[in-house]
Order: sequence, then C-alpha cells, then structure tokens
Amino acid sequence: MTIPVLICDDSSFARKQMTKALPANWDISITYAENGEQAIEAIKAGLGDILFLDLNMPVLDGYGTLEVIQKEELPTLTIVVSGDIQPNAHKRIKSFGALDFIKKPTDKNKVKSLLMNYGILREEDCLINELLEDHKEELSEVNAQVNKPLTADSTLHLDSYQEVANVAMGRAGDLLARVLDVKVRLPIPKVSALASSELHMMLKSTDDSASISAVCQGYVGSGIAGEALILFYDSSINSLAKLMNHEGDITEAIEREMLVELSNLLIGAFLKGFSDQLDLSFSQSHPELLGLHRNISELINSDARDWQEIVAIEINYFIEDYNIECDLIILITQDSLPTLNNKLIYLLDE
Amino acid sequence: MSTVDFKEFHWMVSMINSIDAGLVVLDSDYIVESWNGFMFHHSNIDACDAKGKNIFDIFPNLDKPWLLRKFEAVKTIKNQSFITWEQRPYIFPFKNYRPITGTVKHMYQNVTILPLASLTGSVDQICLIVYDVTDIATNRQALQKANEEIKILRKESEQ
Repeated sequence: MTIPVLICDDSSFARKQMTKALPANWDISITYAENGEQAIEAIKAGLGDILFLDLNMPVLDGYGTLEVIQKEELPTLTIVVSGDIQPNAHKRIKSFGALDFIKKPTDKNKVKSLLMNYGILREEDCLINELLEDHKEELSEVNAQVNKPLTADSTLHLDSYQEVANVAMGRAGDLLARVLDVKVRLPIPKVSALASSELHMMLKSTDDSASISAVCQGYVGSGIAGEALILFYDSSINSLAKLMNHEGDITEAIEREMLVELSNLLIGAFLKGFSDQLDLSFSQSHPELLGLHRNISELINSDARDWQEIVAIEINYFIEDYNIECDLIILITQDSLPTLNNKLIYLLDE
Repeated sequence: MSTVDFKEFHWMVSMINSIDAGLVVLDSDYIVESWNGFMFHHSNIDACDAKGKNIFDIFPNLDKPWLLRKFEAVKTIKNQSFITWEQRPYIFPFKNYRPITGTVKHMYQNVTILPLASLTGSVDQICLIVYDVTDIATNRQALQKANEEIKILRKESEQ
C-alpha cells in the first residue's frame, strides 16, 4: 500500500535534500508543504500519514504545527528534521508529540534505521521494489533528462545558501546555548545578494540608532573568502556579563573579553558548520575589535568605490529570558561565488 | 616509525599546517618541498599541487632576479634574511584577510628567509615564513596620514 508522506520545510533545497534521504525503493507518495499551515491542510486531506517537519519556518513554525497536531489529534507520525540541535529543543519536541528527531543535513542511513526502528519501514517494503532498484540507473538517466539539473553558472542559488546557513546557524546556536546554559531563539537566516557599497545600508537597516560593539574576523580557504561580523547591542551587556559570570563593575576590559569570547564561539561554530557541510576548510584571521559603543556607520568602513556583488547571511541570535541580542553576519566575496555555487550544486545533487 | 614518533609527527604536522603564517620549504632548485595550510588557503593552491613545482612557476609574477639574490645570499652566509612590507608591500599576491571591509585589497607581508642546514651542515634547503602584517601596515599609514593632516592644520592656524 502506498504511504502518503509529507515533507514540510520552507526551503526547497531542504525539501529536495529530505526527499533524497528517503529510502530509494519505498512505496510512498510525497507531498510538499512550505509551512505549518500548509502541512496541517495536507494532513487533514490525508496526504501525510508520516510527516517530516522542519522547526524554523515562517507563517506557522514547527512547534506551532506540533501543537495543532496534538490538540486536534491529527492522524500523523511526525519526525522533526532540523538544524536546531539544542538539547532543550530535542526534549521540547518530544513533549510536543513528535516521534523523533533527525539532524540536518539528513543522512540516508539514519533516516532508514529510524524508520525501521519505529516499524514504519519494513524489510519487505524494500524487497517489493527491488526490481525497480535494478533499473534505477536507467530510470535516473531518464529522470535526469526530464528534470534538467542545475548548471554551474554565476546565478545565485540563494535558497541553497539559506539551507546550508540554517544548519550552520543551528550548530552555532547550540554551542551558545550549551556554553551559557540558556535557551537561544533561532531565527531564519536572511540571505541576500548585494553590492559591497550597499553593506552600510544593509547594516543600518539592522538598527540605525542603537549603540553597538562589533568584532570582525576574516576567513579564507578553498577559493572561498569573506568576513564574519558580530554586532552586539550595548543594551545586552549587563545581562551577558551576568551569564558569563563576570562579577562587579563592567570595565572596558571585561567588555572586550566578552565580545571576543562571543565571536570565537559564534563565528567559529558557524564557519565550522558551514565548511563541514561543503567539505572544505577555512583559516580564520585574528578577530579584530572594530569598536565599542558606537553607531554602525562609525564601525564599518565599506569602500563606496568598491563595487563587488557579495552575499550576506544575517542571523539574529536572541537569548530568551535575558534579553540578549546579537547579530552574526557572514559576508562572502564575489570571487568566491562560482566555487561556492559549484559546491552547493554538488551537495544538492548527491 | 614507531607509534610514539608517529603521534609526534602527526601533531607537529597539524601544528605547522594550521599556524597563521605561511611556511614554505624550497630545495636547492627552488622546487617546493613543503607548503602549509596558510599558503593553501590564501593561494587556493593545494599542497599536492604545489609540491614538486618551482616557486617561480607557481607565481610567475615574482621578481625572480631580486628574490634569487636574496635566496642565494642566505645559502652563502648561512644566515637568515628579512623582507619587510616597507621594502615591498608583498611577495606573494594574496588578498586581504578582510576582503570586504578592509581598506586595502592585498595582504601586506613580512617574509623571513631561513637557511635549513642538513645533518652534514651544508645548506641545501631554505624556508620562507610569510607573515600577514596588513593591520600594522594600514594602521601605520593611517597614522602617518593623520600626522600630515595635523601638520597642515597647524601651519594653517599659525598663518
């Protein structure tokens, strides 16, 4: 019997990746949803006996979706698929009625063993379709011709940047949550292509009036280069000092210490997560403190004469209960984009 | 190689590979024998591709006669020699570590040339150590520029 499987993720890259991670010869029909609301409609229409659910989504996020499923007792088995791997999140989703949790990027063997464990997938399900498997190569050739694969060109696949950023962001957030022992709210990373001369404007839109402190760190490797920036809102300094166990008055030395520590943590974890997925390695420059308690335009000198198209990934980390806010911004140079696009296509095609 | 030697070798290599300075070993014909992570990351030329190639073929724009004079001198006098960013802003054409918000395009470099003595005492190999001194160079230049401006302002106010 064909099993209706529903994949709910706002990123088409992630949906494709999840589809590829499903057992190849499993008799299923797949439906896609871009957010929780669409997923719930699909379940009600009987299209989702099994649901693979992302957590960070617009409209209705994964937690909200789980809540609705539980409240309305919708007939579906939910497996959460997310880059958000904080221990807290893990517990929380199980208490919301999800069956289990798969970490992004999804691994084919893990998905299979998980499905086997819960008796969703049986050996015979795979046997039935073994014939198909024998002809897989022919089939995939035909498929490849029908769905022409993406070609390596200079056009940006921001969607795939988004997905890779999601996973890396989750890892960095996880580290932050562990080190500070707090719950970190993970946003949806904002990926945009812009001219480097517009960097000012983009940063300004983050916040134009607030007094901030910033750290910058360069990274380079395998033909990919760029910078990582941490913008830390001054209004959060006292709470952060408390979390990092700095007693007494907060001197400038302590502020520097905290900032560099925060940037080591977030930038390091993000870049590691990013490079691991793409199977490359970066070396990082020493972090440079751009300034304390300034306004954004005083901190960043982007050369207005320099016109190169860059990609910026903005992530706004927010620590609930403490009101601590900081932005991690990853900038990627124009020169890096062809190499990076190639890598992403490869990741997508695997 | 025993396990202990191998372990030591392993961490030595990973240390050399990840240090934030370029390390290159050249044989007597200026063929690359060793090429660390810094060199790989900044040039995007893999150690496997660099090894066995002549350094002047890898970077055809190097000032060959000038560098050869330096290299030969190091071998002859068996003493290290220095090239500072003030002589030449850079030897290897690497980009600024901060390619977007940095104020200059290229990486300023200090380079040390070391003679590597063999067990018999003869110098067959040399080692290049490449330091990124972009911060120092740009800060120095900004300071000089600011000082010039102060001078002009002072003159103007005296008049």
